[in-house]
Amino acid sequence: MEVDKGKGEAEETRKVAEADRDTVTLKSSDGKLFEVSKEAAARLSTVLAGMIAGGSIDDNGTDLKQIGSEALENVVDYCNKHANSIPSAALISSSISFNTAPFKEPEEWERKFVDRLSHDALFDLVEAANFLGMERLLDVTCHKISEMMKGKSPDQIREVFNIKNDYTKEELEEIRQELAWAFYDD
Amino acid sequence: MDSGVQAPADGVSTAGGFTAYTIVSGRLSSPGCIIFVCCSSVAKISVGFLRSWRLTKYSSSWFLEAGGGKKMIQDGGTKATPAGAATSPSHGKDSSERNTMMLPACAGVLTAHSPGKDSSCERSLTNLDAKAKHSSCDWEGGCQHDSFTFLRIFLQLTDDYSRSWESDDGGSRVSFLPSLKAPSACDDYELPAGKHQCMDGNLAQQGGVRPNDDESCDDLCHKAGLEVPSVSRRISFPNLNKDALMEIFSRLDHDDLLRTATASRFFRNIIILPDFRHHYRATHKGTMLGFFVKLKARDLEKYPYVGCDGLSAPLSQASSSVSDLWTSENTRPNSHWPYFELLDSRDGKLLLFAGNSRREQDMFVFYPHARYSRSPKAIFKLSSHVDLSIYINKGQFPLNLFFIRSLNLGLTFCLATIELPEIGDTRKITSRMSHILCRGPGEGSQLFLVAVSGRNICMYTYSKPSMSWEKKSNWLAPGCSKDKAVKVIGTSESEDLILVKTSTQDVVSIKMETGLAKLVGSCESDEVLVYEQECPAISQML
Repeated sequence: MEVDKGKGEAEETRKVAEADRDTVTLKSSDGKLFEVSKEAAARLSTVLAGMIAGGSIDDNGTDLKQIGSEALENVVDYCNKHANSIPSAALISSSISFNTAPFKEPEEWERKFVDRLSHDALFDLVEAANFLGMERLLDVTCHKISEMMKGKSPDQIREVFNIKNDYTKEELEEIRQELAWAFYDD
Repeated sequence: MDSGVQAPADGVSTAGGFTAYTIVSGRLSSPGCIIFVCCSSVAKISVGFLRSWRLTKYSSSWFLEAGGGKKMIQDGGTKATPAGAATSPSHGKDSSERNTMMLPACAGVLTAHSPGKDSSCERSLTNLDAKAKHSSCDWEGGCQHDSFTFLRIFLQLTDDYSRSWESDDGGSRVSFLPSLKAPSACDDYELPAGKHQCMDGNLAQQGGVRPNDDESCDDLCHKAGLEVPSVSRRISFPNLNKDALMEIFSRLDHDDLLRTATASRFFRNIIILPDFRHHYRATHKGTMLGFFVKLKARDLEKYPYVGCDGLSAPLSQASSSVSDLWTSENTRPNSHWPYFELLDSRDGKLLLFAGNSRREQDMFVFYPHARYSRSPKAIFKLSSHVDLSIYINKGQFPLNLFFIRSLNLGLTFCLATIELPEIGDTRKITSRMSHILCRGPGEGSQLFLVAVSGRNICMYTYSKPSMSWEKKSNWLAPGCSKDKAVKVIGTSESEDLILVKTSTQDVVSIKMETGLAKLVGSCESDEVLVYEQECPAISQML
């Protein structure tokens, strides 16, 4: 019982110490460490906000195994540079439900932020934003990809996603007959 | 069910977002996830599974809830919302009338779940009681049952469903989907709406729950005998999961979405998922394809479908398909129920009060599918000044109205605002939108959209000069010509349209926000139900 109590106190002390720090350390899947301001992380990411509030942030770097170093670098870059201009993620999620949230157009700096990204980096960033519950970043990156798809033919869309046509010939023929207008590249 | 109502075939579900099902076999395969076989009545057996379920005891009855049921119970403390109350309040007076009509049917649904009538149900409840020793259990509670049988359940779908009868496809899936076609395997394995889907390793990240660390939802689907398309594994380059793809796709317009579906079968499977459709519907408005006319005739003849005129080819085809589905032998409502009333139409779905006889009727959502397109614009003349009379408390008061603003929103569109004079005791008029047809100086007449709030009145013009006036109680009416009257006969909520019938039986739709008007068809009835496709691009693929 005493031991448990001691452990509990130590845990409490660790949490207090963590709470005093201004930054949190995030570790990418390939082991690289990134520091991001606690305020920015909490404001922009619901997942990180929850972890910070719950005291589950690791001093040695919170493991984010699903996010590569390049994507995490972009995430941190986004957080550090622009946190102050974005309303709290918690506020966004509490005030607007997922199903009814209108899509907000990206601001100019956000456009530039995603425009400079390579194809791979953009998709990785979508994954990372989705993973971390970064509504705004997800919004911006998804908007960018949807713009890349707009007005494109099915073939061009496959190019964007680098996927193969998995319809059978018969299915494709059926689709072409039924939805001829969709294949306006032909 | 005990209600005596014939179970609907595919394409329908009971209304109000509530569906009564009897589980004839169930297995708790992992914490919080149930695979079950259920039977809606004698004719319908469904296989599926539920996640985020909750078992709750009300009085002497047990109910299994999924989707937004938990919240509802916590908030309201009642076991069900009457389907009538679930009707959108935006229907105004109509909703109260509908409530009156719906309550008996709802009572029938609830009666169907009353315990004690089925001894097998009682046995099951006894077993559960003995095992659980809780009156309520859920995920967090950690209450687990190894198996159960013959449990009567009451499914309440997502929050949206409890508020609005029409939503029946985005939440928990038990294969009673409102599709005239048999639901695909992809439909069947879907989980309640929201972000926390059956996805590749994405649940815990989002704060959602996963059935089991060792057992994915896909595995569960396979166990239930359902085909599950591979998720992101097929995508070679951007290894996006379904969540992310859904986010991206939801930002596409209808045409691009349709093209995306033709790019890959995997994409198509995502797009036709109920969850995606639910999300997409919330962010993209539907389009009016036509309207159902209410006539004083019997059954189907009572509600003929009139497709909009001037639709583009794909839309026209979509509208025709609605007409076909409404009348063809296999898909018309009469093939399910000998008797039915058409109560409402919303988001591509129809609310029916139907049954085997006039005494045994229940509410159902009927869901014909169609396609999407835009309709032509019309050109109207406007005048800058009109003389009006306003009728308040049976008194007529003249008003001179000058348009103070002219906007160009595709069509010229004028706005005039005035303050009503103090008239006797009547100093305030409650907020109201109305429509008038009045004569301008010189040429013809104009139709106006009028918004009255307190003593302020705003008028928007958008009408044909050739129209005449109509006098109607509590309408602004500067004059009267009964043979050339117009009437508001219907509304379309998602498109913010009103439908006005002219003396020549033409039906004109008018966009409330912009005043854009167009001729959409013709009918003799004074009441129509606008048919809007909730997501035509997606429905086209089903």
